[in-house]
Amino acid sequence: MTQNDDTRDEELLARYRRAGADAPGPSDAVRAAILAESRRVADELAKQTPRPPFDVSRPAANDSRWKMAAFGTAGAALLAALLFAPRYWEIAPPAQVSMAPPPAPEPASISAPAPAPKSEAPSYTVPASQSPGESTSLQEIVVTRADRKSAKTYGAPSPQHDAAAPPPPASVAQNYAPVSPSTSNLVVAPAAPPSAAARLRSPNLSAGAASDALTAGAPSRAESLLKPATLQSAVAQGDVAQAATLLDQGAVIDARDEAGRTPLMLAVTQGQIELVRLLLARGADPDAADNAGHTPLQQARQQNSREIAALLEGWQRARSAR
Amino acid sequence: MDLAEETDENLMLRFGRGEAAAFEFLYRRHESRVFRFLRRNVKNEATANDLMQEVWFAVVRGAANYQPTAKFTTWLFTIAHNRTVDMIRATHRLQSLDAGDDADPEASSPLERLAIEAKLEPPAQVQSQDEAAALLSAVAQLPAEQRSAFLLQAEGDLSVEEIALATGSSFETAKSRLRYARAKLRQLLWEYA
Repeated sequence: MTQNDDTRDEELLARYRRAGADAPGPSDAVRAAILAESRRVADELAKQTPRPPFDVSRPAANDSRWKMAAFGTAGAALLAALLFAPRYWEIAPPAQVSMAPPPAPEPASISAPAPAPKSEAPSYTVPASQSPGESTSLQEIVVTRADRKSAKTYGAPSPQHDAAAPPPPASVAQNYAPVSPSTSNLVVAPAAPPSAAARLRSPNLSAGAASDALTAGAPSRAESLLKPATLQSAVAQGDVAQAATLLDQGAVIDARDEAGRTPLMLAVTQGQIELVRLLLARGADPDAADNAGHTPLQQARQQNSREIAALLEGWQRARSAR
Repeated sequence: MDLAEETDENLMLRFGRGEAAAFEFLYRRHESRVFRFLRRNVKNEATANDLMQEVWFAVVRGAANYQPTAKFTTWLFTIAHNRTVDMIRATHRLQSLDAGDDADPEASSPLERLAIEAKLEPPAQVQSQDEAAALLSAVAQLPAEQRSAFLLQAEGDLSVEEIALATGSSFETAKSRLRYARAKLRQLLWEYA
């Protein structure tokens, strides 16, 4: 487009605007209607008050949420307490439970019930009111922490415990003896044997239980926990003093293990002449044979333990002389 | 600030805040131009008055949400153009129902049909008028899109870009329509002279 064209366009627009300048406007009615509508809308717009700024001084509508937070926190604390408190309940003051059955002078006189068939659930129940001395068939069982958890109630072991632990031979059950008559972790059960866990753990108490006891500030109890709990284990460890203590407390002197071995046989096998002497003095049977038919004297000769063999022979001669 | 010194956009914003006087001032500033635009695009004054009311009612009711993203006149004449097209379409629909097959089959849009009707005016009638009337008559004889583009420039002072925006066409189309409109007007005026 040239400059001449622009000039002609401007001239055309000017002529048009001159031609239409005196054109009539809209009717008065239209003008009035438009202005009336504008005033009406202006009034509406003026009434629309601006939204007030956010008032932070006013309490929030959801202010009651603090209750939910407070109760939730308290509930969580309670739950945590319920979970952790039993650890401290383990080291409780000693309960007044003392179950020491009278010592059995002769192995044959021990009245242990025959092991129940595996298909039958063994009966462990003893009335809580029954005193330990009322029945000679009661056996004292040291129950470890795991067993205590399942046997919360005195004399009423849990059914799971019963079902999972078929009774071993009575000769084994007789071998369990309490560490101390005043020890709180004694659970008295009838002649029924302890659980498998108890059988496994009681001869050698777990280090965890001992350390728990030590850290709990109960050294005397911890020391007692670290000592052998059964005559078998005391003999196995060569602990003459503990073996004597257990015998004093009524441990069965000729209690047999799974192989039919008595503590005397175990002492002979280990060459513990002091223990052999102690057991013989306390009435151990020098002629008792194990399941394979071996007597302590035969074992001493096999091991070439001359002193022990001589000791046993002396006791046999004295016995036959009586 | 005095209303006379305010821009169109500020007057519209003040009206949006409930100031009726601002709108009144704005209306009087653009009343004649809008009405002339409408009057040149439609056949009679009554229709132009109806359109005038519709256009300004739309402006009034859009004040609450008005944002000055473009020139106020661009927005105003876009509304005017759209209302005109709507009215012409509605009128043509009624005329088609009345006339049946008499409508020009070559007319592609309502504005073109309106322009065709304008061409049917007898030339003798044009020749009897003076120069101003002849120029206005020549405008009326333009094709609808060219006439609308010319009026948007002459009455609304819109640029080619703004005309393209108001009519919903491309820049080149708007520019071409303007060029053809001026050429035809000059030709008609030369013939009259």
